[in-house]
Amino acid sequence: MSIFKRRIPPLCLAAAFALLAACSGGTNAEQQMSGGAAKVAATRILGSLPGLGAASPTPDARQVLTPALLNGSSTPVLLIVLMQVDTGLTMIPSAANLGAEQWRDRGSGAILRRDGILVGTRGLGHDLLSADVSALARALRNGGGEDVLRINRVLNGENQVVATQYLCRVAATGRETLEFYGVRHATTIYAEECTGDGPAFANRYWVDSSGIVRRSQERISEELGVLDIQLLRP
Amino acid sequence: MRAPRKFALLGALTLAGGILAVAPAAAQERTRSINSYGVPGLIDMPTAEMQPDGELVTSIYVMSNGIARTQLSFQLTPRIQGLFRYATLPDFQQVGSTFIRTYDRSFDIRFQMFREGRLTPAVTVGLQDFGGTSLYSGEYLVATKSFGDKLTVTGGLGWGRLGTNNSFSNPLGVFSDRFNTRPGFNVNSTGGAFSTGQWFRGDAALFAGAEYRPNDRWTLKAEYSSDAYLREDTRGIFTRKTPLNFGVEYRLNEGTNLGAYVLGGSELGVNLQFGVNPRRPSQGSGKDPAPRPVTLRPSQAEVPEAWTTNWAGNEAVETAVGTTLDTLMSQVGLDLVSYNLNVDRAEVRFRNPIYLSQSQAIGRAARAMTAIVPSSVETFVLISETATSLAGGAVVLRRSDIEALENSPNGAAEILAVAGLVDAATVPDAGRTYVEDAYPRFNWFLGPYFGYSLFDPDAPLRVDIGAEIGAVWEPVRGMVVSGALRQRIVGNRGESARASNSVLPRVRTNTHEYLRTDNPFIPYLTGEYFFRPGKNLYARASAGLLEQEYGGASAELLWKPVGSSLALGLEVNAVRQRAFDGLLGFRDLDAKTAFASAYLDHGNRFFSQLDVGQYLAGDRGATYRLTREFSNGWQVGAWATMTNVSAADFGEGSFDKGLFVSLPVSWLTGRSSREKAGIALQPIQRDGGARLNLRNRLYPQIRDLSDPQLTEEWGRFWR
Repeated sequence: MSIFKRRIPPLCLAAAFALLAACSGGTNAEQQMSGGAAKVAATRILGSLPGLGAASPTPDARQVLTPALLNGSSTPVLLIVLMQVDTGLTMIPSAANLGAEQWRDRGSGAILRRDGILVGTRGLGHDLLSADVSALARALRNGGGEDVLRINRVLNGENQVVATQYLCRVAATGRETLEFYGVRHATTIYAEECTGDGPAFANRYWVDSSGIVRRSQERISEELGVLDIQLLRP
Repeated sequence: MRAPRKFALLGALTLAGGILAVAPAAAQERTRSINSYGVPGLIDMPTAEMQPDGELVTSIYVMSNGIARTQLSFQLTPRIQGLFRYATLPDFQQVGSTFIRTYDRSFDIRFQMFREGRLTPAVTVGLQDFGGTSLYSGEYLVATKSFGDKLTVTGGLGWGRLGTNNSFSNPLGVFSDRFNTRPGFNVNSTGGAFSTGQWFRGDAALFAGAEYRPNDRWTLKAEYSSDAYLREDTRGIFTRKTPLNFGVEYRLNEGTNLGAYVLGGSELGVNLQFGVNPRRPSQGSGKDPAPRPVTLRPSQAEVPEAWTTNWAGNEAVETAVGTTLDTLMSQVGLDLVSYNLNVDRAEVRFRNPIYLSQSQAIGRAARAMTAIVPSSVETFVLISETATSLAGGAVVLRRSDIEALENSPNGAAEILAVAGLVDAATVPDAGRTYVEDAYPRFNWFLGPYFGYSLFDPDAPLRVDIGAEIGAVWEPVRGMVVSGALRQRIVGNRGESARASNSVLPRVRTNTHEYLRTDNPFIPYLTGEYFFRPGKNLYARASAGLLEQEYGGASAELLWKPVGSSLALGLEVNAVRQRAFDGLLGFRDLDAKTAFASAYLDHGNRFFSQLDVGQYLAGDRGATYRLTREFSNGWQVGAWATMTNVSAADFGEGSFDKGLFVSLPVSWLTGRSSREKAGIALQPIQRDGGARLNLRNRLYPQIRDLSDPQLTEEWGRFWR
């Protein structure tokens, strides 16, 4: 039985003495031996520098979406705009466990929503680990509320869960008819103004007559900024 | 005979105690501007400020007269800062009738006694160059007060080098006459001992200064310096015209400053400062892909046949589950080693090559299990193993908890509360099935290597670059055969001409001989066996070419119960020095070492290690090592060794000590990886207090497999 389960890539032999090339193989090529963490670091640093070794960027979702594309979609679609860097992504559902919907994009990012409210992000860097928004959901159903409790949790630089409590004021601030690629929704805009242990912020939710949150602008973290989330389908 | 060793050990223990007693500080997030000596300060004078907790600052300072310094400082705790300095002065050291360039290594330590209040200043006491050759040695007591956002004013009292301008007799002289005189400085001394006999003695002088920050980017500094540069003046390197120094700095980005100074009205200096804080990773909590959602089981009431137990014992089903589990786990970067499926309990053992945080690996594995393990299985047992097939702790979870708590707002704490943590050695073996490619395992790699050596006075930095090929073969579980071959392509480490003048057996001062070879050489070639003799115990036996300079046999036993912060170990080695050509031959030098070690996890990410025993040269003593770790894998630490070798016999440096910094590659890139890059700053490598450089000691491998370390970052379980 051969213990060599992978063929030696021919390119590796040719590039054997290229300074930053390194090859490995074996029964599980996932494992890289620690034969020079420095070279790994150098390779990856170069790869992350702008213009060097980066993959071609994915096009902004807003430039790609059309009404026809949306109509042809068999799943619900969310459009997420990271307002700080003005980038748009689309996400489709991947699971709905016990009321928490997980939506994923084509890359490695995901968000979690409960009752139409964002309760977590993954893979975006400086993520929101979880948010306790049960009181907020109730307030949106009841048309508003005072002293609505919200608890946001993040992982800090030391991988510790840091919980920040906020007391928020939820109130209806107007009405707007949203139009997403040809489909109209009449919505009421609610503002959630939060103050508490952390920096104060304000989120906005566009809720239609059946209680579905069609659009929201929600702050994730200081570094990531605000996400503009639009439910394009259904 | 003075007792520097006693003081050193006492000092180390006091330091450790000081760490534990330190009260938590309010956030001081701004990286402070440093002086030319690398500590928060003005131009040459220090201030009472501290860097943010955990901040690592490296700096380079160059003067127009050829003096240069580079420093690495670490804010060990919010109030204690340590620093290592490497300096060079031209025409300084007298050799015969000429003066040559000298290179000097020194350590500083500073302690902030009082933080700045609304009305009161911050007060810091500092020891500059408290060991070493006393070229820069000085002590100071300094107070700093800020007025508004822009202005900071500093004033202080200095001794030693900082007490030479307009000095007056020591105010501490009222306590004892001893304080009035300072023992002399010997430029040719070998240094290394703590010069406690000098501290705060001799004349003192005042210094003062101010720092003005008109905006976020620019800083202006002015100071009245108490350093008269007497020795530099005598040698004509630096002649001051005035004790006033002026400077301006520009902040390039967070943590990076560039400064230019006019010193003494006659010289210019340029200072470049880089600060980095392991507690503020550039990518936040990382860019790891989102985890696969937990797969919920169908409702037992609605689909009772999904919950059948008929599948147990059916080999076809079990193999199918195992194979799918293998695939699901490798999709998240984990290697399944074995599985054990029963009607109501499933156990998996896997290797985690990429997640720095074991709890994240366990979370991913648990999610993978929910996707394929039959519904009747309610208990999951998850065991992470090292690359050497050692398992530490087993995490026991109920599937219902995993399903219920996946997206719960406080999910991490809630799942930890219901998790069981037991020693994996107590988990029964019966029914365990290894995956097809679990053993034998074979991995090889080919790539470049970088070697460096520091602080040779002839060339402070030498680098080799070459190619390395290596392989690891694990024919049966726990037996690891590994080896490598290197070939230097370009480099100057072989040019070191210093011959050893050591009076001890030349156990470590022949290193430069090994670096001369132009032919391929074997850095290591070993056969090792790792196993768990029983509950709480880990063992290793190694034989072969253990490291670059030694080959022989090594055995180690470690006791670490699950949940214990304390681990105890025993290590015994019998080795012979290898031939200088780095191949299979040996020289005539035998060595036997034996150590008893204690490892303590202090709980706030500080780790102490105390090794007591016999070192390579036959000397006996102890090494204390203190490491501060950050959850994202950064490690900064220092060690000191005291043995029964006298400072005179040890030679330059007087005793073995060093600093090390290790950073995980994932910190730079944001993607999970267990690879680390490290640098060890060892001012001098002599023959006293020398240990073997073994690659696979037990404690570093198994430490995070069980709590307390396993659960310290449990927030990543659901990440």
